[in-house]
Amino acid sequence: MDHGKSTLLGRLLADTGNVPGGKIQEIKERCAGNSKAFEYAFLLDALKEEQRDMRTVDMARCTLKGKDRDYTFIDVPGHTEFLRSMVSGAARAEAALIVIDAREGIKENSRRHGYLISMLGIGQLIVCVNKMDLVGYSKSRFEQLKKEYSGLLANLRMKRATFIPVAAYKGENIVCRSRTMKWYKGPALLRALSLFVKTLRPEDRPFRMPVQDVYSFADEEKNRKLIAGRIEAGKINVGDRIIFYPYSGRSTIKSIEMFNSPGRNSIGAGYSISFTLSPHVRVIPGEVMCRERDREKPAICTAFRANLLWMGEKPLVEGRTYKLKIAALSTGAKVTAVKKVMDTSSLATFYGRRRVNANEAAECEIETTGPVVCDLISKCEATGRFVLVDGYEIAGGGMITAIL
Amino acid sequence: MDHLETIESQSIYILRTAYREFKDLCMLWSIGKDSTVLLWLVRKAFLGHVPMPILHIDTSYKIPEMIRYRDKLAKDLKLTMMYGQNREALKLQRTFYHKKADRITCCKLLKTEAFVKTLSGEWPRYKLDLATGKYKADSDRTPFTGVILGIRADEEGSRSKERYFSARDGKSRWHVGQQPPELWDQFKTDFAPGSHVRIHPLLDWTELNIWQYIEREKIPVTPLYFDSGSGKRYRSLGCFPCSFPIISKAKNARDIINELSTGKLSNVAERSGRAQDRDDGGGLETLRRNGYM
Repeated sequence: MDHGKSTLLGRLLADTGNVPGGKIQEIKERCAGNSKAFEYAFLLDALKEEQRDMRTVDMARCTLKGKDRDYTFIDVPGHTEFLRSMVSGAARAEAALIVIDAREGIKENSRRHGYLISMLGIGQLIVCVNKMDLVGYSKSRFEQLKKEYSGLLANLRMKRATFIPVAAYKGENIVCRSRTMKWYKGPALLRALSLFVKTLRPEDRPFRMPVQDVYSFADEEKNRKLIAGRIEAGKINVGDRIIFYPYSGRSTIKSIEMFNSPGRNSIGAGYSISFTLSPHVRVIPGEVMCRERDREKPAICTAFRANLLWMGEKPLVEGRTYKLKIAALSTGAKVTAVKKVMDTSSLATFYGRRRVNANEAAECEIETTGPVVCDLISKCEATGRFVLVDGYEIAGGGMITAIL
Repeated sequence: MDHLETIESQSIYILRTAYREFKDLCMLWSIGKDSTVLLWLVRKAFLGHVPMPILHIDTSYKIPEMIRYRDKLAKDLKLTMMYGQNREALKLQRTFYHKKADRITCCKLLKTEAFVKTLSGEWPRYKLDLATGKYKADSDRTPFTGVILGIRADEEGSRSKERYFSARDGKSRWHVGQQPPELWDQFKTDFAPGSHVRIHPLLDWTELNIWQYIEREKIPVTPLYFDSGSGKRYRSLGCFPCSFPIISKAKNARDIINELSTGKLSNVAERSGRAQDRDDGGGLETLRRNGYM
């Protein structure tokens, strides 16, 4: 089931001089000691379990120092039972790299990865069709797979993907353009990576800061309370009028506080910060701080529609109460209606189901115990997506598509 | 926002989440550069304050200068400073230094066992009395349910498989294949009684980032990291019988940054001076599955 993804990354790192020379030698010696042939994939597969049965366990990351910028690869497993690790790894990514085996073609994993990548909103994709040496470097085979996978991606409404024919073990089209595949006119993998665009933080959007906590430390001035959180969208200035949802407390920003930093008059998305207010109003952690003058306000509701991906060991059951966590807020929630269930590998859809199993995605209606402050996923990511906790584990991830 | 500001913001976000969700929270401090940056980030998150106890697992083999640095910082910042120790093993001299244990067993006894048992309260914590400057056994033996550690994903193989919030079962075992997803900055903050969660705010930080941050914020670190004239310095600081210096003339953070960026050290792994990593079959994985940091 290994499409050579680990070999590809291992080769890419080695060929760009990103692996300490000592490390390659060390692993070669260890392989010799265990009577095993050296594989570039071993550079990634740090865990002993993998070296034993040749599969990747959980998530490992490595950094490629490129010419102009660094790339952090989060290597995620390609096996069914590790889907949860894959989603977790993919959840922090801004672009994706998928590896398909030229000989085996598009299998269950490749479909599932494609679905997850589109569901997680990752818009930039490179697809490497690997092991081209085993199909005689055939152009027609490459074009056939490219057409098939493009069709799949189009169904998932993902528009842009770059396809590259490679042979990772031989280093073809990894760093340098391949000499055997002269029919391919596109970039090699390293060049294709440099073409990824870095996503920008939404500074011009309506201001959203989920309140993580309110601090009043012992030796502070008696009434000094600090509202703490990370700004997820927009920008704010000292003197701005603000409002907290859902309990509608209103006040004005008195100061922007940061340890070991000069005072600031404004701050924008991405920063973890604290504020003092004038006057101080009672704020409950979990509320969302917004700016009065932004026209687009978040919704306050107890029911919405969402796209849900289920990963829990036990199936999601309609009507059962789970814990919902959205931004800095937690409340109880239950699925009141399962509208449509999709198998993430075959992409077959089912209606009339009342349960959602692991590795399935569902369009459903959710009702919460307490009020939830949210935006549609298309408007704001931080307040548009949530997780469901079953017992002690995060079992599902969802994106809000409509307020009910 | 530059890269350093991005990872700083993420670390603060993680620390604030931990403080909010875990009633019995502590931070492990090894006096090294990473946990010192972590302490600084705690002060960033809580506006100069350190609102949780700081725990040092004292193997008694740290270079004495580091212990002096520890106690001075504790007094200056008025920290709730505690240490835990495997006094039994030290009394019996079951250590590598005394040649009565190999490196792995020594780490297991002096670090892992001490860590796990101090965390749970089975063994006492020795708390610094800021008035007298002396340590005394603390009567409070409540188990810590959350512990903040400064490990980074790029340090060595098994640490790169970690999560920000990583559960340990009742026996502090790490089931690496069963880790929960950390979807969209939502972390595992619910856990069964009797287990604990480890919080790793520095996971995305590289060795280079650590030194860039130390330089930018002017964070005081122990001078053992710099060449004081001998042409050698410590790149990684553990116990003195198992930590070896490297050849380097770097005298300050800027020199180290140059050394790391221009590739003088790019051919050498950061922990290459740490003998116990080699002894564990190339990596700390066996130790870590059983509760090591």
